[in-house]
Formats: sequence, structure tokens, C-alpha cells
Amino acid sequence: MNLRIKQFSPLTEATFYILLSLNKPLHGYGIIKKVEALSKGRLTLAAGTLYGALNVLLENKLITLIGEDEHNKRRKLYIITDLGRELIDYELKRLSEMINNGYQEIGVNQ
Amino acid sequence: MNLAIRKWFWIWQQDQEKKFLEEQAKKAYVLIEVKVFKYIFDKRETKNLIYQMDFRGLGGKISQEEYLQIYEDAGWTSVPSGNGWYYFYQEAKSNVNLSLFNDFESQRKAYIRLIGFLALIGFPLYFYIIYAIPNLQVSGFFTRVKLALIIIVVVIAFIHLISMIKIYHMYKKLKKNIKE
Repeated sequence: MNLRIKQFSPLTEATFYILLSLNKPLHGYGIIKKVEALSKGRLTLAAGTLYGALNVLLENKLITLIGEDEHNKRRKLYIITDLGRELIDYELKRLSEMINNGYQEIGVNQ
Repeated sequence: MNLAIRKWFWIWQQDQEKKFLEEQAKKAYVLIEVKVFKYIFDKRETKNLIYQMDFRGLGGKISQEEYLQIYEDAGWTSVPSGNGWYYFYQEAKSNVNLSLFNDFESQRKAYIRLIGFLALIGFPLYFYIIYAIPNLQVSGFFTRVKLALIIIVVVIAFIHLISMIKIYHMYKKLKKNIKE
């Protein structure tokens, strides 16, 4: 495992969902819609949050530019990199450990 | 018909500036351009507008075009501005918090961008004061010009210092809110 990714953990909810949604190429607007769908309408990414997160993810090569929307060239398409995927894997393991421990200690409260 | 209002807000008066713009919108004046000391409005059919200002800093890897596209896609209309800030508005919606940020973390980073930029432009100002004032020769033809220049730089540096302190306090307040 690349040790560099540990410095990004824990991810904020917004960054986690942005990274997750870029499993397939998407532009900014596509990310907003995808995250809305994934969270069943609970999380609508605000523009500044999305812009800031994309910048940080790009700078750290966790996502990369792969093209532009065919209808609107101002919309750039991004996709997750191998390093980004490693980070997501790391986060998923960490989060599921937390969830399992939580259920184990205090049970599932429905 | 256009309306131009001359007005100046300091960097730490973002809330007042927002309020000023939103009050104009209630009188059906929508912001169409921002100049350094001037706001230009257009009379339009309008309801309640929410304004937000954003400081993009030095930009990072995303171009200005794409930056504006992301904000427009999120429902914001951008207003051309010549004072370094980006101005956006959209119609107020009930039960929707129209902020530019979802979480404290991204808000915190926006403050850091602003503080970083202020520090960067402050460096030559303070450097000039530290270097030029002790080396000032009181005699000579250009003394008055030099003196005037130094006074201007000192005034700008003073305003800069106040800005830094005020912005830093706003940043501290935000961090305090996170902890609570």
C-alpha cells in the first residue's frame, strides 16, 4: 500500500462521495447529480465545496482529467486514478471496521 | 435602466456587502457588474435573491471557465467583477440553505486560500517598509517623492494588517463553531 494515501484519511463526506462517483468519468455537474442519487437526495454538493475538493484531488493525483463533455467543452471530465482507488479501498476498510465495531459494542438500533 | 452605486466594503465586511446586494434585489435591482468602487444594477422583475462571494485565490488546476461552469451548473448566476472576488446569485428557495459550502472543512480551506493570498501580497509591502525606511536619506531632490511613497505604502500596509487580523478572527470563529 502506498503510505502517502494515509495522510488523506479520514475523508470528509463530500470528498469521499466525489471520489466514489468518479469511478466512472463525470464532469462537475454529473458529480453533483451522482452524489445526490447515491445519498438518496440527502447530500447536494455546494459549488464551492465541489470546486475545492476537485482542486485538492487533482493536485494530489487522486483523480485525473480525461476529456471534456461533447456538448459543452467547459465541462471537463474526470476519473479516479489508481492512487485514488487505493485511498477509497483504505477508507472503506477503515469505515467498515468502525461500523462492525459499533454494531458489536452497542448492537443495531433500528 | 441601470443604476450605479458607489460603495466600498472592506475585505472583512462580506456580510454587510451581501446584505447590501440582497436589499437592492428587494427593490428589483439585480447586480450586473462589479467595479472597484462601484456596483452596477439592472432593474428587473425579481424575487428574493441570495448573493454569495467567493475568493478563488490563485486558481489551482481548474481554469476560470470551468470554475464558473461548475457554479452555474449548481444554480448560480455569475456576475462580472473587477475587484478580485467572484459574485454569484440565485433565487432564494424556502428550506434550502444556499451556501457555497457543504461542510466546515471546505469553508476552512476557503479561508486558508484567502489568508495565503493576503500573506503573499503582504510580503513585498512589509519588505519595502523594513528595507526602505532605515535607508531613507533625508537630503536630496527626491526626498519628498520618496517620503510620499513611503507614507502610501505604510497606509496600505496598515490596512493590510487590519485585514489579516480581521480575517484571522473570522477564521478562528469558524474553527470554534466546528468544535462546538
